[in-house]
Amino acid sequence: MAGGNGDALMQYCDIQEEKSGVTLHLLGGWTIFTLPEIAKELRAFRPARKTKITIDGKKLESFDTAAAWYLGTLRATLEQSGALPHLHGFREAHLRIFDKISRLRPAPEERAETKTSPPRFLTGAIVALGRVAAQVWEDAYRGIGFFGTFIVTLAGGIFRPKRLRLRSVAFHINEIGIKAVPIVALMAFSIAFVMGYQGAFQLQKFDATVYTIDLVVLSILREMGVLITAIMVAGRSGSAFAAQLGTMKLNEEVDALRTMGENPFEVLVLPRLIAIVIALPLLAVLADATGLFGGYVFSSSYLGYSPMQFLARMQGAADMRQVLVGLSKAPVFALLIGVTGCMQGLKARGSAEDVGRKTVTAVVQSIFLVIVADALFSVIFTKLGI
Amino acid sequence: MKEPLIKIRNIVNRFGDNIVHDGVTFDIFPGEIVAVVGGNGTGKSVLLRTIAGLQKPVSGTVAVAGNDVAGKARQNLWGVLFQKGALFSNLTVAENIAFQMKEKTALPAKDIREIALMKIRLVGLPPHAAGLYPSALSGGMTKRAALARALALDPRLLLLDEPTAGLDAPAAAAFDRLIRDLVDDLGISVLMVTHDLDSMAEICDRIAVLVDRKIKTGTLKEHLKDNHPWMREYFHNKRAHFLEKI
Repeated sequence: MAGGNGDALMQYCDIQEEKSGVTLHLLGGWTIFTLPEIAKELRAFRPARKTKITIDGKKLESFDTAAAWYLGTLRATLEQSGALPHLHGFREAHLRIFDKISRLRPAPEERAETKTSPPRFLTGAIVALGRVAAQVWEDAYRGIGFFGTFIVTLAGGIFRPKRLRLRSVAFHINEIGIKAVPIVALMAFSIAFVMGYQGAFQLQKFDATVYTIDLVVLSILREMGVLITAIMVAGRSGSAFAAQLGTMKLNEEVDALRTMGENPFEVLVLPRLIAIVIALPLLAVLADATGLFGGYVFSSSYLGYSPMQFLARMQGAADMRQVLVGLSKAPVFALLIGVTGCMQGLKARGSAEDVGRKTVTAVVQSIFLVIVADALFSVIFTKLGI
Repeated sequence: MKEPLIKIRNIVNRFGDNIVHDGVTFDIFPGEIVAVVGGNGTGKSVLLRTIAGLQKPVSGTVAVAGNDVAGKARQNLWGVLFQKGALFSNLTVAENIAFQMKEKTALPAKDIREIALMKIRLVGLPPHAAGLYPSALSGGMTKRAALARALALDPRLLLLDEPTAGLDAPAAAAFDRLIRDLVDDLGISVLMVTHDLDSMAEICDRIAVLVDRKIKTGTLKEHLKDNHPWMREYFHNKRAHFLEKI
């Protein structure tokens, strides 16, 4: 009739079959930690229909809400299969827990409602794609609006320099520019050195190592100097903008400014954007200089050029135009990084976690935009024949 | 007399030269709610953190039902409700509650989900709260969700840090009632840091007052008769005036 296997391994349940029905003695500690064992012991417990089942809780030592939930489920399943369970001999404290939890059981129709089917794979992918597209559109739209606000606020500030907050601008130039000097210099030097090394190795095959200098000088001045600087600034300052403004937004500091009649854009964003537009080109000049120095160190140590030979070769390869081509991109990159960082920061809402997410987005987006813009510049400069 | 659940003996806490606790000794019995009160800087939260094992006292012991808490199994004996909830922001409410169950028990995922939903109802949250992230919760809901998480493994002691701070009066009263009901129905004990005189009057069995780096425990009535200047100030100021009626 009943399926209790009756061996000595039953630690939490003791099933006794009598003529009048089945008695299920609950033993020891019924807690969330022992539930897996209890479930195992009762797996084979399948009493026949109309069996009277006495669930005896006299020997229970402890009983928690998870166990109460399990016992309630057990009782419901037994009732559904047609058996007639009832509780007996429970301590008052245990019974109180059981009653409390039993009252919380949802009605069957409510239960069905909580089960939501996961989205199908294809639908899910299309929905995700649509979300990303909408997000990109929204970011682009807001970014353009942000840029426009910057221009308008800046124009307004030209007539009232006090509104440009020069102290704040100076502070941010120090943060973005001066503190980044060592790392940018080191990066540009190393990149130039590596390019020289790789270039010389290839050009050697054509017996044209002398062109290594042309290669290094041109790529540093036109591309690498400013690109390396922009990527470094995106990582250092774009992320800092997003994190600072995001934290201020969550901390309601932005709202506090607004209630004081201040324009948060003017107080927080404008100084950062002015500072980055000044600092990034200056860093790019530094990157050009240290990059050229890296090229010289390589060619003197590996190719044996004297300083005068290097200078002569360099002047033959590049003129002021190359320097300007490279540096002309710097303010554009600066704005892309600054606008992306500030915009993402101000978009943060909800929790500190969102600030982290927006910071990541700011860095990824600004590096992506810098590289796309660089590609566009290359096309434009080539078409113009510069 | 019942055996105490937690015995706190001669706790000394010191930060640099600043002695916060100098021999704090008291007991918490099963099924009672004890409030910890004291002026700013008297180390109420430090005491809570000491009992929770987050702060190592310079000397003294916290013994749980006979065992010293230095042992490893102590985490399951209490749940902590932090002042701001401290819900994991990257997990939904249901996942927050399920977290410890997944870590500490061998229950199948389906059962864990069901038990988590049961806890959500136990603290009076609507079922749809299960799928919400903490950032979408109101202050009262956050407290309830954090309470459900603290109750995940059915601890015997709940440590609450200012449970009603930041809640409006009806929400605070409802939360107080919820705690009292849980204590009465589940047989757990509660130690709560609070400034809420309503809470103390309505739901607390005893009040532990931190004065002069030591603790004085007693019922509200006993404290009202105390002649210590700070205690008079605290329990007899105008805002606490209605307490005299009790």
